Amino acid sequence: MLIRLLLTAALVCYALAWVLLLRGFRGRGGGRAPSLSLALGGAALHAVGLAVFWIHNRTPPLLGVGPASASLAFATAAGLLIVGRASERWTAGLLALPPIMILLAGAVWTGLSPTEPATAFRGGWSILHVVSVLMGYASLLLGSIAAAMYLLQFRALKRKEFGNVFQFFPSLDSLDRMGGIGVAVGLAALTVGLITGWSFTLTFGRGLALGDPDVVLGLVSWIGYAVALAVRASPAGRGHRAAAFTVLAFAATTVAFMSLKARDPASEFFL
Amino acid sequence: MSRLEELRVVGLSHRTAPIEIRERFALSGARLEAWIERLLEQPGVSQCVVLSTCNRTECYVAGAPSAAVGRRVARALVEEAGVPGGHEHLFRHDGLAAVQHLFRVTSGLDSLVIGEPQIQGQVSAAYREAERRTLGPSLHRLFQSALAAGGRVRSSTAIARGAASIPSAAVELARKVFGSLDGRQVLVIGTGEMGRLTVSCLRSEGVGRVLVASRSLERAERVGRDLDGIPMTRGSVREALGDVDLLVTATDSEAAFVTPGLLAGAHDEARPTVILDIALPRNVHPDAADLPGIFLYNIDDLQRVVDQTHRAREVEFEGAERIVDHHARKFWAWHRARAATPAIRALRANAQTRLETRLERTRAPGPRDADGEEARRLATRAALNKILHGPTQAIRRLAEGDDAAGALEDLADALDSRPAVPAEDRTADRGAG
Repeated sequence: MLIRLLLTAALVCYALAWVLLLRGFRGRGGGRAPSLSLALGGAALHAVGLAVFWIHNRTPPLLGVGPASASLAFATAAGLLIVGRASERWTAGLLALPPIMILLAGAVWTGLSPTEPATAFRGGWSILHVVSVLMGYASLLLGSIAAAMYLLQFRALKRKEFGNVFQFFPSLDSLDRMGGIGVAVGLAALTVGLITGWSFTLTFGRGLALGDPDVVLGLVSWIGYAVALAVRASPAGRGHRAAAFTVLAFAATTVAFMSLKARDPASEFFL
Repeated sequence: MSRLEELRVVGLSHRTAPIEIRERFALSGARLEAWIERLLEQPGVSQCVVLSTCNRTECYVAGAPSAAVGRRVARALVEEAGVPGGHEHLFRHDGLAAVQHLFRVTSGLDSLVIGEPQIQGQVSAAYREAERRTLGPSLHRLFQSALAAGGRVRSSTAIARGAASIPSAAVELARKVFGSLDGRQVLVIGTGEMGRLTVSCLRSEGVGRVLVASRSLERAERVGRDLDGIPMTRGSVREALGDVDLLVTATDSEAAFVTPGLLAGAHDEARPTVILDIALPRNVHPDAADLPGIFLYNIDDLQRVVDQTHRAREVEFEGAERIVDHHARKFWAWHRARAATPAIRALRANAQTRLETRLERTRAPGPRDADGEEARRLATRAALNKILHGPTQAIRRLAEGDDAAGALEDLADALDSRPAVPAEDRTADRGAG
């Protein structure tokens, strides 16, 4: 009950922070500083909620749809707050807060009890695997949001549309850096997650488990974002091209996720 | 007892005086120092802060609550400026109106360009300058509250967001592409006034090397000296284009000499370049905007950025006014409540004296029980504080009203003059003795 209460309070804080950002985007109110403060408050409540889960269940909130969604939402919120501590970049919250809220609302809605496998999931190796994967997806999500914002700001600047996007979104340079860091950190974390996951399955003689939906999703994401990072590293790749490839990688990941879910709706892979 | 100081402002601004009058009233350096000395010598003026910018000269004074003080300050200000008939350009506000005026000024709501941020710094500088001298609690608190309200307006509304002039729109556009302009290289072609202004604005944002190109090297050298830039002839532009981040064109050329071909040959498409074509006729062919990495803006585009900012600020104006009014009234309530202090002090002193006397008189004969007496004293004091809380609050509320000054003075005088030991107590003492 306490965990649900804390996470619901965090959700309310995030929602209010987003409403303030939306007001700012529409040219009303300053919004950014109070929005950032609210989101910080939400993240603090979110962290306490997850800590209480860990203490209460004696297992980290990593397995099971609810706990994993709540942790992924927290990793994304933490990443957003780290990059958004500069007021200008906090505007990325306009696009990043909705997925955070959806994940957290989903966690609260579906319940926050650890699943059976989770109670056996206590090895440091396994924790490293799941934490890496969650961090990876959170970082890739933020990188993709920055890339999408880059494309919108680029379009506004090229078409000379000096409206809300032009006024409210950060500079192209800032968004490009955010996108680059998000993808690089996310890809590194996802790589660690895949390697540790495979090590785990190999230990138990299950091979590379290439048919496992988690592994398929991980591989599709990894390949998509690796291509985006390679484009960014090429001589003419920074900026618009890198942003476009990052958004494509995000689209490929989303399509892969949807397809896997559609093929096997009862699958228990963590999302 | 002394009455509460009256706050007032006397001055002129772009709303009341044209520039040729404002410049006569402008005060700075030694003249400002001398004026402050003179202002403080005026009868009835005990504190002052002088705000002098290109759009306003305003004297905020605290002192005797007499309308004559404002008239004297106005007369002295006109004499100082040496403008015959200068009175007709001056405005005077007293009390809450003066407070509201300062709060509006500090928040940029009274500025020529609504929401412009410089005024906050100018008010802060004037306040700090006055703080070095004798700044009493009224003006000290007034200016601190006004600066806080200004900050609140800027953080809670979008009144200060965006670019409000052509040069600042140029900076805004460049910043939307590059973020920080630190170390960016600028090439300005042409030596016109608008080009210079734009480059000066970019310079203040920290741009690095500035190249100045003109048909005539002499002219380029002359303007280059002003802008701390490197002069070059227009013939060398093609080689320079490859390295620049910002190109500003402001020549009176009849033809668009910066063509897509010229740019395509010189420009690295992976590196964004912002082109600000502020010339009329345009110096840059419009098709150049289609090149990858080129962000081309002409004078109309810059004007649209400015218009957009003005529209956004107008939308926010009402909200900003509400914040300013709330803070001004909050300060005014504090200021008025200060008038209650003498009456509250007198009330508490009077009650305290009575209590001490009564306690002393009712002490039982024989050896003193110090601990018991102290405990009794503390208990009765606590009770007294509780009893006086209501009357104290009532006096404070009374002070916030408009016509309370006389009543508060009478109350304080009555409490002050009341004998510390009332007559009936003295009679009782005699009887007991």
